[in-house]
Amino acid sequence: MRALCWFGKEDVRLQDVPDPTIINPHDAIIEVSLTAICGSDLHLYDGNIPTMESGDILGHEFMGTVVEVGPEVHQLKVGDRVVVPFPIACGHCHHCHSDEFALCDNSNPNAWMAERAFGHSPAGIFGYSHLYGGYAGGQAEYVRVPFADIGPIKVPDTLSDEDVLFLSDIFPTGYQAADVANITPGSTVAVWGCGPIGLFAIKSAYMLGAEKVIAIDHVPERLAMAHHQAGAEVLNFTDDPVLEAIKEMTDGRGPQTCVEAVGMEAHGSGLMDYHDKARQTLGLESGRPHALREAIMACAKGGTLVIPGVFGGIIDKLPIGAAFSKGLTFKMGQTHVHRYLKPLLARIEKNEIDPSFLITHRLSLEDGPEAYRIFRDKEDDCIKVVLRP
Amino acid sequence: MVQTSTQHAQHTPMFEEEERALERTAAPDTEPGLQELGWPSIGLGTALATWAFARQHGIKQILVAAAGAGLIYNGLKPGFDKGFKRLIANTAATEPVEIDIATSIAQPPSRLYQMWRDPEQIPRFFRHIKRVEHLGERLTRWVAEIPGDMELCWNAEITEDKKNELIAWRSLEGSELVSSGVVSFYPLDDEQTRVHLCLRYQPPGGEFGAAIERFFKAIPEQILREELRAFKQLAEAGEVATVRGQPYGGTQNREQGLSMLTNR
Repeated sequence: MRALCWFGKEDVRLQDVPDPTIINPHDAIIEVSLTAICGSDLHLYDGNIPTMESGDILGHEFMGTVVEVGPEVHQLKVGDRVVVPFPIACGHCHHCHSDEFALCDNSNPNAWMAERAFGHSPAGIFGYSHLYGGYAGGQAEYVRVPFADIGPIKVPDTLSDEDVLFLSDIFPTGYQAADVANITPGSTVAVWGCGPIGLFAIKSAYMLGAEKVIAIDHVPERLAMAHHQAGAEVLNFTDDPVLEAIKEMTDGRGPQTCVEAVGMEAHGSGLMDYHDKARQTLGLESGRPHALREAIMACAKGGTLVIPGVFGGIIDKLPIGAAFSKGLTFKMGQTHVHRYLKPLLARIEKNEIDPSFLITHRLSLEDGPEAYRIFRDKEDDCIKVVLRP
Repeated sequence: MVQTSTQHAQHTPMFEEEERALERTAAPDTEPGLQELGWPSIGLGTALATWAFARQHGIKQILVAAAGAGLIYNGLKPGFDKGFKRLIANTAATEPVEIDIATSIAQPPSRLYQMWRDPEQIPRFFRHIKRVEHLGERLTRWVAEIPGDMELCWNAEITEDKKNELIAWRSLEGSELVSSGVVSFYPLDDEQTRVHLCLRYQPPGGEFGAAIERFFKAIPEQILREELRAFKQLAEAGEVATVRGQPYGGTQNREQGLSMLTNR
């Protein structure tokens, strides 16, 4: 089969590789019908996630048709059309029982490595480094899905691939950001980053009762989409002094909920940005947390800061004193996708949201290497790429 | 050299009982080693044979060489009788290594106890154990795989068996690995069971083996930790997570690189 493989920084290639096979009894093999490049794949593309190996198959947003099931798979059968959550969860450990699927005890074959890095191991993730299990990803014609009775959700034929694909990651990820933030009716939410996660977070915040959402970015077409498609009031951080502007827009109190949907490769300005870039290049810090710092400073006293943006290691000069003094609550982590599949599928079926609104590029798997570059460089107004194998 | 885990099992009412069981089940500290061989006779035999071969070959030399060979055989005889591998493994046994690890598993104690008592299940989570043979109600024969495609065998007897609570065992005399251990299953709440494994063994290969082991200090404990993790995965999820055998974009060095990264 053909698959997009990682060979190093800015080196993604389409390769002929062997077809995946059933390895464990709860595995299924899915023929991929549609897959996408996630903003977090760009951290791999830029070489900022350690423990990638030359030849790893990329991709954690994918869907398709079941073509083979292992002997212990009982809920799925050949021919079922499914969307697959990006974290792999066993369904039977303490964390899975607590609906914390991205914290599954049993799905990471390299748990020992993650325990060294983080103290405890999170769940395995498709196509996202050996620290997260080294699973082959779904930017391919076929993919092996472990614990197939637990993750994949069957989708009705009345919905198109583009309607449901984003249940695999970005829709639940944006939704979880709003869901864990205790948004109360009438409250104001600020969202840093108007990429796919930020856009879904804005939409979800409104679904959950927010009165006003302020969105911060510097890419004009993303700000336009946040404003016109998601209904946010927008701030361009290259034009506006963000902290003062947000304070003014919230009558001096600051937003009760802040969402950091940027992660480890934030773009900033000024001296601190050069400092972060230099330290990240030298390997002295693994992220450039500009947006995170700003969100801490902007957040209202007693507010909640949610971090769906991906961080992997150590960051510098976090204003923890500001967070402490203002009594902030931090919520963060990978998304417990399984938790949201049914309720969000129901919202799609009821036409409350059309998740395909942010797709700007529809390409084939062959175009993958070029698509990574376009998406990273935000060329051609690129916001979201989907690939058809 | 007593090597203990930094992560001690949490103290529970079971704790003291486990300690006592471990003391009671202790295997003999030393087993016959290479000192069993008849070294004086091997030395004399070798000297005679060397003398004989260094000279011109005549009937006298042949007789002396034969006498030397006889002495060497006599000296090595205990090795033929008791097994060289075992004698080498137990040579100059040092202080035992003790490994003490724990985990919590979302299964009732009874199920975990049954898995541990089932010889067919054990190689599924103890990856270094090739097979366990059932010799009797309390008697099992263990065959482990060690680097270099070799096998290490020992017979173990269960010294204490409290249903759904605790199993203690020790190796019997004549084993190639002198070891003893206790595993206990303590219900933490309705869902979780704490599994505590304490294993004590003589490092194989005597002083040499102990030196190697000091060099790779963490490895036996890390292996055991992974095996306990595999036990938890089998008990909870019904399989051990793996990526072995999945496709990837081909490069020559990849499998080698991966084996450095991946245990499974």
